[in-house]
Amino acid sequence: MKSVTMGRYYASNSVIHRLDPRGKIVLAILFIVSTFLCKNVAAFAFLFVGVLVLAAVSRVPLKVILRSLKGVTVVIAFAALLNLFLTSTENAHMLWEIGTWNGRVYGITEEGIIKAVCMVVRIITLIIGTTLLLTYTMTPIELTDGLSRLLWPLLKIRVPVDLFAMMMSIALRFIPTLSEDTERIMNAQKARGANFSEGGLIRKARALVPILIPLFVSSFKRGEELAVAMECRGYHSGDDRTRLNELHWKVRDTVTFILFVALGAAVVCINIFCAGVPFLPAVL
Amino acid sequence: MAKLELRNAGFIYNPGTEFQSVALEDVSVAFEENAVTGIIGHTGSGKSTLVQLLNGLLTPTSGQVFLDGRDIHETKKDRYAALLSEAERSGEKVRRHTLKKQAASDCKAMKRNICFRVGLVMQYPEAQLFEETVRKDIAFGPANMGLSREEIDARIEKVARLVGLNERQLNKSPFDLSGGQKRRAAIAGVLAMEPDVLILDEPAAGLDPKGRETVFDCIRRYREECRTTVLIVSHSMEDMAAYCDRVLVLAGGRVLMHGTREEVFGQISGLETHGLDVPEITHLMNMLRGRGYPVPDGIYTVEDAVKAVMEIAHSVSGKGADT
Repeated sequence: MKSVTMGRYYASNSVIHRLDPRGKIVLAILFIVSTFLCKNVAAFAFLFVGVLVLAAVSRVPLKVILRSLKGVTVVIAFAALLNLFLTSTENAHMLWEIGTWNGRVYGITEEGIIKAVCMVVRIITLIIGTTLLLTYTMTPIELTDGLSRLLWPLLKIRVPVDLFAMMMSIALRFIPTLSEDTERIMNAQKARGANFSEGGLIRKARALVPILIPLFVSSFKRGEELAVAMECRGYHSGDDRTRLNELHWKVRDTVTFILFVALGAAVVCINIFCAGVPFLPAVL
Repeated sequence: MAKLELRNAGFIYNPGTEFQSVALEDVSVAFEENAVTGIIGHTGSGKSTLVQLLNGLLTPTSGQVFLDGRDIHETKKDRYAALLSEAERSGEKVRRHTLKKQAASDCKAMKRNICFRVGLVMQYPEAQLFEETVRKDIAFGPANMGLSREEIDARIEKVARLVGLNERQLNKSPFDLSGGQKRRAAIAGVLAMEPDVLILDEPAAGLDPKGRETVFDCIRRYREECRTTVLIVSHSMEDMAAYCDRVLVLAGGRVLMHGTREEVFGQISGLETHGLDVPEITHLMNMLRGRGYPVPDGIYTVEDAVKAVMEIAHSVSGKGADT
């Protein structure tokens, strides 16, 4: 449980870490759009280099970054295989023909390989780029802070953005605590001979009861204690609350913003000017 | 033969990652049958890891754990080799196939039964209560052992008496009990499995003085009745002095001292360099000796101290009457 790295903050003091969280959330959206704008190999190569630069600037070790891909290896492999074998073989350079089925020729084509590679690069850049911006260099608190600030206009139409933000930061804050609780309770029940791995689905589901009930009980207790503690300190929601860490938009935020817009524009330009390079449909 | 033994056991959390941390290093220690051993040490000294190794919740990353002389994580292959050499020594003719089967079932049984043979009461055990009634909750462990209904009922009656829960409390929801009662109900859930070795991790943490005493009395009653080997993890030197025969001191994941109560508490300076202490009352007695009173050495409980002081008082007043 303690070794979960996907979605973990990596403490450092790089430029990326110090960027305004509001900006980083918008940048992440810009980045996602850019990856989907890519239409050919040149654009993908360009974007991939962009991600590498981002990774280098963020000073998050490559080993840590690669670990965020562990959870999606199956997805990546699946996408690669599908594109490799199911790319249309009409007007394509067949490299290895497998056979004909239902009047369609199946096999590995040059286009298929290019498409599969591009798809893998797209998924990898997408995940590395967003995790770098949103989790490795941004604490959950910053994330909720930034989000609530971005959604502030909704307050005008009476959406309690501040309450949602508080709920979200509390929920995020308690994920490790709850996982620790779960581990402790599981151990306690294992010590009484509970068996979570054997038996069919129903037996396994029933084996969870001795964990879930104590977990609910302790969560409710924690929730109540937290509520009382917050009230004791005079917590109330509303826009007259001040903040410990005010967000300040600085020059470096503007500069990064411009860089990212330029990146997106560059991708579009490459799409147009390098149209001779193998084509790839924009939609997955 | 020692009841429970660690040989060169070590444990590393998350080995090979940046979260790697060494909890225990090269620990060799033997727990004698029927003794009460106290385990003390600072937070992070490896106490909780140690007890989890002993009942098989954790598997040591190096070294072994022996219960009644058998490695609890013995592989099928090793077990087979052991059975084979045993058969050869006794000159018995056994088929290899039977031995292999025997070895496999032995290992499976060991894996399954280790938690029943070495009962572990975790820290704040009341967090594990989940059933509708206390009775059902206590029955959880014995039911997992596959005992019959009658046997389970008999055991519930027995442990309820030992921990001091009455019929009415047994039929209540565990969440309606007081803090001390909850703790005792949770301990009863482990006692009902009648383990050969009982391990308690901070059994009295967070209880008031009366609650502490009740919990320790339960443990003592259980031990007297069932003759079990008991290990108690605690921060409190006073509890150690009052309830334990032997003391094991851990520091930084290693064994610092292990011996009788007298041997360990006799080395005040050794304990103090590691930020631990002897019981308060021992300090007081040492101060009295420093002032010239003939207080005997090796006093660790308030009761003994009272006796010693009374003796001195008597002899002084006796002398006073002579002159």
